[in-house]
Amino acid sequence: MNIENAKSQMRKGMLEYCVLLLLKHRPCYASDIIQQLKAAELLVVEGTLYPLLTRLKNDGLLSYQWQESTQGPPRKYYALSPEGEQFLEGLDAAWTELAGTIIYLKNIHPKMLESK
Amino acid sequence: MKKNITINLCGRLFQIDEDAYDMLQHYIDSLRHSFGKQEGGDEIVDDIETRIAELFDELRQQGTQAITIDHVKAIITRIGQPEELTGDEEKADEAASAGHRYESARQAAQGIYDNVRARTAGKKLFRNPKDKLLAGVLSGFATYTNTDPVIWRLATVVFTAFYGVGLITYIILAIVLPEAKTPEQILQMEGKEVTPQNLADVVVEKDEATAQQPNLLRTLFSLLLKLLFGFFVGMAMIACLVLCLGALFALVVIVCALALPITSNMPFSLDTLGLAGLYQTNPMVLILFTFSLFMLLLIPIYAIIHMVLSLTGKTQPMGVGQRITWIILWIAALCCVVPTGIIMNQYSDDYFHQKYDHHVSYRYQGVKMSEEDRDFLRKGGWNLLTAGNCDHYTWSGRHPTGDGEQRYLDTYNDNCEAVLRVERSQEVKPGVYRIDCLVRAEGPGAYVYAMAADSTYLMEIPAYEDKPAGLYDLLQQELEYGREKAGGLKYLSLKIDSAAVRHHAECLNGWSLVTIDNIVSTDGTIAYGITSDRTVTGQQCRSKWFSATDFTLTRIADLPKSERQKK
Repeated sequence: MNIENAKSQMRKGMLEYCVLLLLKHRPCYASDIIQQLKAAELLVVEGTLYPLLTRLKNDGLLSYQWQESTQGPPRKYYALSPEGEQFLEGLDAAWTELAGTIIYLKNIHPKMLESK
Repeated sequence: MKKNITINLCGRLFQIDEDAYDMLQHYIDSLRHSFGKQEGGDEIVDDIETRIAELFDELRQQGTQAITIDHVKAIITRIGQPEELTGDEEKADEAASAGHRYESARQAAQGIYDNVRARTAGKKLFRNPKDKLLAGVLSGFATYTNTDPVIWRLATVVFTAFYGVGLITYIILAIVLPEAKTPEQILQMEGKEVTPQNLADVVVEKDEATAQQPNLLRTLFSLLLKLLFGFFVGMAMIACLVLCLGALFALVVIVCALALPITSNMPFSLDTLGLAGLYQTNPMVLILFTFSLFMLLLIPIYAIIHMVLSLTGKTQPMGVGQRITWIILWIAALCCVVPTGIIMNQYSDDYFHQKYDHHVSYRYQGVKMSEEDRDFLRKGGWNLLTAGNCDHYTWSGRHPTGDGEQRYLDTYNDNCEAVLRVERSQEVKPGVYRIDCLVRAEGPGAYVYAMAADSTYLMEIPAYEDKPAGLYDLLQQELEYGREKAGGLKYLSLKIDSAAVRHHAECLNGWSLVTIDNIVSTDGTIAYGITSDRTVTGQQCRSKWFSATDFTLTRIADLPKSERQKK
């Protein structure tokens, strides 16, 4: 088992959640999201983001608006739709639970298992 | 120095090197191809194109005048290869929704389908001239499905073991599939874009390939396969030729038959073929047979003419669709010819069988037989006392005089089951008599008999089959003693002279002279004949056939005194 592979699997699982989180407070366009995700080392190749954005949009979680740009082609600004916000809340809850589980598992003491 | 062109990307103009442009174009095309099958695919590619435009913009702001191939390579690495982008998404989707067994099975099927689609995407099926052992069919399949040709070759060899399915399929495919001849077709075969660059590559590659040293083992293997294949094809061609000639003959015959008047006595008329009745009741069968036989011959001839013309460049070679249509038509014709041919054959057989039955439908003393049998028995005054399982009652061709037309008493049953008793009575003066006759048999159990005054005299027929037997020896002896000069052969009323004996020696085979002596007739009648009836002989007959001819009754003495006194 390749550690890099395992890491990338973990990142991939979280990518959707992270994108939704980034869009929670303000609309962003694709290159913005790419920059932030790259900073967080969540994205290896940029191209992965585009199919994801399109899928989220087609599922009704995202909506977008065209905006002219001063230095380049017009940009698609993505924002969370009301369904997207609901979906994000669901993911938040799941994440909290998951994080709790992981912290619990990491701190688990051998003696606790023996007592059971 | 490089040629530079201007492109319009999302409404913005960029200077770009030609090779960089080609690479970018190919990249975007392959993205479009990979995303094409999923929902919103075009939108994704448009977005990526926008992203590329942005990155180009950044480069320009950094002072880049023209975009080079290195820039494009860097951007492609940054955005990712199509496989990296689509594969991951699909896998994630699959993992998310794989729950039900049906669903996963469906996805597995979809996966295989996608796999095949992805492997064959953008390719055309051709025979591959670049890596061929025979005609390049399997190599073509391998290129088409992106697999190893060895798998296909092995599979073909294995399937050839099942009634030659593999070989036949191979031959059909070799005929149906066109070969990738032009560089353009080679690119289509390999699923590559037809661009000037790629075309040039193919041409260069071709030159390299011809310049390459051939692998000895491969050449040997190829040669062996070609020899084997040539052998099979040669055999098949000979068989085809024979079948073709047969079919042509059948066609000529049936056309003649249909053209001649029904009741004509000419050879090949419907009547002589025994098909007149079929024509009157069901002419469709004959017409269908003729027409499909005609097609069966015409289609291959047309195909050969077309092939010759296309090889000499006078017409375009047939397309795959056209070839398949002709093959299907030909198979349809074959499927018509075979059953109608069988029906006609059956009908003809039945007809002649009935005719033959009619032939043996003469009756003599309540027994069915041929006209010849009846006439012979009637003329000779023979009575059929027992007749069971007899194929016939008289025969010709083996008469001891060598006369092929001369009939004699004879019966035949392949299982030795013929039960025959045929006799005739003769009015005589009371006295002592002897009977001479010529007989032959295949096995024991057949008898010559005589009946007079409540006594039965039996003599078994010697079984010499067809070998030289008693009569031959006897005649030789008599010839040696020169007895024939003294008025014919001693024992026989037959006119067999020395020349006939020599000439017809083979006709004497199996015939013996049998004599029953001392037949005492007090009441003036003697009945005599041959039989295999065990109620008379007391023995099971084990002879397939037996024959008799030339019965001669000779008076040898007056009645003995004791007999006369009884009277």
